[in-house]
Amino acid sequence: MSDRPTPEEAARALRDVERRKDQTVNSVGVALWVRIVFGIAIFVALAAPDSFGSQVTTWSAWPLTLIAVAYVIMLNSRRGSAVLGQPARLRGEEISPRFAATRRVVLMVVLAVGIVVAFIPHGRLDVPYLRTVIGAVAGLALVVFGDRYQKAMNSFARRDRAARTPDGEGAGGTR
Amino acid sequence: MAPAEFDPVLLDPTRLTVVSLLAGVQWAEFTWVRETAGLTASALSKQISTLESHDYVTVEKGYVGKRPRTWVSLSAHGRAALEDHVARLQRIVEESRQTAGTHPPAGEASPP
Repeated sequence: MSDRPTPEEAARALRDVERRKDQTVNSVGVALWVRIVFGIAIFVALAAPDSFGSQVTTWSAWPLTLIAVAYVIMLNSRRGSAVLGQPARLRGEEISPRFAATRRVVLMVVLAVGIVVAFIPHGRLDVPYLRTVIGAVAGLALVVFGDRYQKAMNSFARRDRAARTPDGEGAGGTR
Repeated sequence: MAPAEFDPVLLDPTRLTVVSLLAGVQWAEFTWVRETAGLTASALSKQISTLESHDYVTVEKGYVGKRPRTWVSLSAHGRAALEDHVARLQRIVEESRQTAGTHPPAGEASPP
């Protein structure tokens, strides 16, 4: 490339910049062993009352909470991320505010539905080992699909951000 | 800014690739950049040194357990330079489009 790129070179360079940014987002996932730890923690939290009685519900969610807190703390440091098998940390600015708001609303709705289901009487649903089954399905889904889900969410957040740059086509917008 | 004043550091496609990769992350391990950019360790090391000498990236070395690690991140100066470079490239593409619009290719019949 000379001191002033030709239009073809400039267009190619712009495409490369965007491709590399997409590549960044798509290559940051969650390590398999981390997904397995979370999958087991979710299974234990949900299935424990089926095996040890409803009195264990007071502590069965604690391991999952502690793991989640430790995960978030570690993820925010270079060495912690390296231990978790995440060699790069995405910038928060790469995620579009609209996507972040939507994600927050969805989480709130899921929490609200969970609270409603837990506290509103819904008759006698005597399905044996229902919590164990739900825990196994949720834990397994996290292990198998967690990485793909994370990458899809990253990609969606990035695409939404790129589409909303002032340049329109997402060719710019390095922020 | 004049379109001719391009940053010579970012005119190099390999350095532009490295800076573009780092633009989306807070930090990245040297190995990840090398694998994602498809470069050899020595080639990337050379480019990182050049970028570091221009204050475009910051390099931090450390250990995780007994293994040495190197983390690279784009500095505010490097990010600003990339944004500026991208804006200049966009201007060239835009000017080319406008020129193509006002001067249709030879042999193409102009509308009556």
